[in-house]
Amino acid sequence: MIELDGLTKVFRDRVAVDDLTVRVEPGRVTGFLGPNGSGKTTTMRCVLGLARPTAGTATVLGVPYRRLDRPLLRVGALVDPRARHPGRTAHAHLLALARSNGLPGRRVAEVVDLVGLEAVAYDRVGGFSLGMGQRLGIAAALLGDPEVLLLDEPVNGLDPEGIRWVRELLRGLAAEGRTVLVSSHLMSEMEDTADHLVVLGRGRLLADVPMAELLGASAAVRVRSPRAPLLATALRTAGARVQPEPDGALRVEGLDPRAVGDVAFAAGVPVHELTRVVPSLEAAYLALTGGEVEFRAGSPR
Amino acid sequence: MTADLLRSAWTRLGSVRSTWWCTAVYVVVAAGAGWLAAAGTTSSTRADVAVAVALTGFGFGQLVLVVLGVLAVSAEFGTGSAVAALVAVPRRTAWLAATTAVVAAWAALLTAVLAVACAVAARVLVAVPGGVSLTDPAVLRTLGLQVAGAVLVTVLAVGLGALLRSTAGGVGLGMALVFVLPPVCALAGGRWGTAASQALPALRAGEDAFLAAATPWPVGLAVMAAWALTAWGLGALLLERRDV
Ligand SMILES: Nc1ncnc2c1ncn2[C@@H]1O[C@H](COP(=O)(O)OP(=O)(O)OP(=O)(O)O)[C@@H](O)[C@H]1O
Ligand SMILES: [Mg+2]
Repeated sequence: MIELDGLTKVFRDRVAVDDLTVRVEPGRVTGFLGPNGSGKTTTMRCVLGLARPTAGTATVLGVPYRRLDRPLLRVGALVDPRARHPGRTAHAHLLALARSNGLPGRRVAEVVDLVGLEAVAYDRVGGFSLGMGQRLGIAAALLGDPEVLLLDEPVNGLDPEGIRWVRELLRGLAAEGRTVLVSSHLMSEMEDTADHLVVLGRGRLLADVPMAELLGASAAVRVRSPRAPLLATALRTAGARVQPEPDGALRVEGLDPRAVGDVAFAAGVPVHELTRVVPSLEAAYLALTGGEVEFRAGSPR
Repeated sequence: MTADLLRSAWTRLGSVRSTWWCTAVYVVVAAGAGWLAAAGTTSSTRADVAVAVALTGFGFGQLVLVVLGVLAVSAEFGTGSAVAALVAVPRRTAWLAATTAVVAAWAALLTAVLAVACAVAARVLVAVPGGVSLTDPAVLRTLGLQVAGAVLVTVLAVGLGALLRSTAGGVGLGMALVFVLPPVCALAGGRWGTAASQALPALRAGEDAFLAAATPWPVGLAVMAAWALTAWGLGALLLERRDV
């Protein structure tokens, strides 16, 4: 479990994390979302004791990270894919980390195999590709078989096979009752991986909700009828918000499909299509963070 | 825990090429210059003076120790590797202490072996009444001071690395303190110039300092230790307090 209580981090005049209070629970994958510069990495760095909070506290498994003895056995982290010396081999990098926590050397070979780097284990990491470096970072996080994982954009740069592997790995670890906090900008990937979402905007908490709830909140029903105007009136009378779609169907919010069907039946209107429309995570996320984007690209001319 | 940290620090240092480059250069400079100096000295009146001549190479060799010590910390910060290291070992002072112990032990071992080799050179190449005995207390003291000086320069350099986190800054400041400023102050002369030269951390393997105002060796050793401990202490303090 990871607990943030009023966590605040100010860099000179910039508030990177603003009074964040969140509990990241074990047994599920918590997705950590937010626009660029919204404070995800800074939050993780505070949790890992790399950055000192300006105010508030961050604890892992009930204690501040810096008080953990042999922390790799409890917490695994991937925070900065550049966190390695380019002149070291992958094996030496992992071996130094393993030894510092009293882990046996054979554990290095195990995680190297696990992430699929056995062919390059004795190559200098300076020559690694983005995805190979990311795999090395994941290997380091898994060294101590930890019960808590914090991964900052772990699938960034991975190939499709690697992305699927990470997804299954994280789901498997959460199913074993571990705590998994993972940030990503890949919404479709997050949608398949996370059970719960913590969303930041400009350092502030925008949402701390189960995935199903976030998606369900903006779910709608699509209904098509040859007598659409009559159906629309009946639905509005029943308390729904109704909008005509370009193709003549109606988009209904505030009623579930069963209620829409019942209203149509009561009004004696034939129904040709009745579909529940769940927005993609991308759409729900963009709707949620629309006002909180700090760095917005212009549109190409 | 401590043994694990030492083993880890050894893996870290031994797995980068710069450590081995520094080692090779140190050996070549200290041994090479030592043999040359001994070969160029035909005779001497005292055994410890003959040995001190053969140790001349360490005056330049200590610059390699500055680089080695600074890099032990600055290379980790410069490459971002410190993030991984300090996530694994959040007790930062313990991490720095283990790193320091390993580099200093390596510097001590190299210096001891090289210094004895240089003493052998003096024994073989320099004519001294009664010969050069390696168990002569004066000779032993000279060799011991050389090793102590090497350890203290290395500790100072590690401290500077932790303070500045930058290789260029740490090496620059380290060289200025042990190699540039002491002779500059000595050359400036006068009471203050001499005092400043004596108060700076210069190599003093005996009463005669390398490129600095002569100083009784216990004072020289104390000055060196004070600088090393202060720099290291400040480095550790800042390492604990600053964000990585
Ligand atoms: N060491 C630092 N010094 C000064 N400002 C910093 C530092 N680290 C982060 N910031 C600032 O804090 C804010 C949050 O940055 P952070 O890296 O946490 O965002 P993020 O959510 O991880 O963004 P991204 O999605 O782009 O990775 C940014 O405005 C950034 O400029
Ligand atoms: Mg980030």
